[in-house]
Amino acid sequence: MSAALTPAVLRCQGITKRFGSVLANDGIDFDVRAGEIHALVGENGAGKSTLMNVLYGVLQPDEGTIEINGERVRFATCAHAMRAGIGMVFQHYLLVERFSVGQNVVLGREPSVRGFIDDGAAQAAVREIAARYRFAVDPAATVETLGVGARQQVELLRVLGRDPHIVILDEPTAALSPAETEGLFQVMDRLRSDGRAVIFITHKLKEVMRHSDRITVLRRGRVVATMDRAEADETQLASLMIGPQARAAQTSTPMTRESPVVLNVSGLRVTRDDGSLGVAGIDLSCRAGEIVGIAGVEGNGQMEFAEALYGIRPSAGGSVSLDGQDLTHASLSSRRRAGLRYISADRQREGLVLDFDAIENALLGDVRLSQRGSVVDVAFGRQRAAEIAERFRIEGYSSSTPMRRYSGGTQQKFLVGRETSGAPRAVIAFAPTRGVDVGAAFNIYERLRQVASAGACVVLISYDLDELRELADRIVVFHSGSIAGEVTPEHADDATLGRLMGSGAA
Amino acid sequence: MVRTFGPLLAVALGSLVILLARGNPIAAYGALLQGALGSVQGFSETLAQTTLFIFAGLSVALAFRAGLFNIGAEGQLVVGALCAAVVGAHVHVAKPLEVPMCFAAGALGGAFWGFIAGFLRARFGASEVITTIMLNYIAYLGVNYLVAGPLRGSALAPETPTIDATAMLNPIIPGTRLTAAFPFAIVVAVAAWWWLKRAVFGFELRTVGRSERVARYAGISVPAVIVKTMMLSGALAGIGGACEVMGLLHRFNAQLSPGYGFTSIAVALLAQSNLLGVIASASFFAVLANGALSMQAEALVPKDLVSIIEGLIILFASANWIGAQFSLHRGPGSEPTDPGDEPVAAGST
Repeated sequence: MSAALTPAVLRCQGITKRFGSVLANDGIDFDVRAGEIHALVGENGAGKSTLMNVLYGVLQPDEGTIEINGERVRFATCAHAMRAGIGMVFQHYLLVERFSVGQNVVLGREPSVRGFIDDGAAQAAVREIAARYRFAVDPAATVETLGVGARQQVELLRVLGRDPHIVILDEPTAALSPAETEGLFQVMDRLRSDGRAVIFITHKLKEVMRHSDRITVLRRGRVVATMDRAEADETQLASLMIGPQARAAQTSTPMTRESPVVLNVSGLRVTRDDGSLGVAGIDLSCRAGEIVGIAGVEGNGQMEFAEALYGIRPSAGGSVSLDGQDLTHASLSSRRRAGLRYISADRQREGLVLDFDAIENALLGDVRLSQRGSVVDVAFGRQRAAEIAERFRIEGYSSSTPMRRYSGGTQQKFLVGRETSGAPRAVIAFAPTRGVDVGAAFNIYERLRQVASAGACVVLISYDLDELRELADRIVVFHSGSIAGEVTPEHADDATLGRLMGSGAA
Repeated sequence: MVRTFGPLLAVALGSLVILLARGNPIAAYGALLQGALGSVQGFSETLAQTTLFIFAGLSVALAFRAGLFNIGAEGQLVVGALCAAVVGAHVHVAKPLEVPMCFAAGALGGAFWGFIAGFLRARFGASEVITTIMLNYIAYLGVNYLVAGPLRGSALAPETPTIDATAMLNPIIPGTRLTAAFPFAIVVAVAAWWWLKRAVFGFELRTVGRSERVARYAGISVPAVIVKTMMLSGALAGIGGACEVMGLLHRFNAQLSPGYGFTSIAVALLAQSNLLGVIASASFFAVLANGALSMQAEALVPKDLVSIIEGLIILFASANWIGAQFSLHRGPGSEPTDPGDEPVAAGST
């Protein structure tokens, strides 16, 4: 922790950035020192990404100064920032799918022999950096064949290849599995011991508490606190991020053993795209007012189960019924008509049309339920969108703004809001708070509880064990497409869940 | 930028081509405008031409909105025209009945031709780009055979018999060929625009156009939307063909369309697939097409210059279109210039 004594490698003062009338960054003072991991936390829309884009030369600040090693700099483009020793790994990877790892890493500064790319040299360069940071990535592999964690390593390799003093990681753990996350933290530790400055942007306070040296909290475009990790605790960080906000009392669900079964799944079998069995006979019933959590390591049949339940994927056997109505072979639209709703894990590709406005997005999926003649009931959509905006306290809501312009957390609120509108009977919520901040997650939990207490059932599939413990009445653990066991939240400690998730042995 | 100024840029580059050919651009464009707009005769011909471009442009633009690239407006137009010509020549009923029947025949013919491509796409995933190009050839050679053989109505030329007077559209200005088809086209464009915006099917069509995956998750039957869209698209082109037969040629012959269906792709691209924009865009291309001969006669600049300008507009417009496709595939937020998760219009609590 000698970092405290080293001077800042990067210091910015009074950074202000406006988008139209919105103040995304409001006089931000921020600095990073060599050999420290500086966590930057804040909700969606707090101004983290804007600040980083300013530091990386993607955006130009309206006011304020940036200094590197005490010298004033101005970055007109990313290339300037890179030359000044800043490297950034974006949240959305910028890789060429069809190119090999090596080709991606050297992209933009390809080693060449008489005008032809020297693939051997490219791969050797990759191997060298990969060895230093202990990445297990094959330089010859094509990027499209890689998983999320490996893709991130490719991005990191690309950034590290330029030997940056300052490495910015924008929500690097958002899409990673626990094991991959662990690997990333080891890399971050190595970067720190190399004497590099690491800026770590995240929502996840546990990670912040475990892996950072200093913490800066942003709220509504301002720095509300900068502190050493030793001075911080999780609750305090959370309240700093959210700001003064009334935490509603947790209402207990009125579910009892006598409540009627709403959703009944028996012996469900579902095949994967490659023909193998993804779900191998699952029995699950969900009562009115109940939130059933589904835990499991990603890829143990959760996706196939959810898709078959919602009607995206045909089932290979077994049955599904809702309120006694058999839906095993029903189309997706008739399932919706029966009251089944689906909060997709991928809001941008499955849940929302980003170019549509809030009204049209509020109508998606239900447009035929509300139509007047053959005309879209715009008034209905406008009212529903306004209700969602009000219920989730969405700031700056405008019915005619394309969904693309809202932050990720706000988009998720719209998706959850829509799928819980109109008195649903059963809601399948797939990782409903993935990549959203504490405040939004809180709103979403609150909403799912409301839906359950109104007499619907909720199937919550999540990779976040805290989320499952917080929300579910009971937790069912998937392993290899079967149920490995079931526990109540009180008994769902990490060890028990881990054992069930890993081996399937109770 | 390029998209907005595409036509201007194309006209400017056209001037350069004229200068290279030692012509006078001002005189050439002057003659073009004079020919297209400078007389009642010229103006009315331009409007008649606009009519066809509106229908064919709507056809392509509507398909675009569903994410479909209908290159087959040409074939759909020709099939629709032939159907209208056959009904017009062989069904003998009163005018208030025969005119709608001919339109319906044109629409059905075009819709059938569009259906084939839509069905192949929806059922087998065959790219509509390829199938519609192929269907253009089939339509073209097929109708050539039909008018040369079974449907031939004249000893002198391969064409169908002249349609009944009760199937013809009368000029609304005496002595010209401007018929009620022109206001009809405007009405159809406005109606189609409103329908796309407000009708349930229009909503579903646009959803599919933005993301087939989101559409599926919203319970929309994507194959049904694709088939219906291709049928509607074909019907619009077919009505355009019917207008040509009923208002201008009064029979079908193989020279009916000198590639109007292809120009309509440029019409739709320039209009950025906005169905109201198609009206303005169709007018622009009609002026070019109709003034070309005057330009050749008066300013001695070959009428092929118009093809160059059209080509340039397609180039500029499609550069943007392809750009838009790419940014769609890369997904939101992946653009480094994007402010990312930060609010532009709104934030969260």
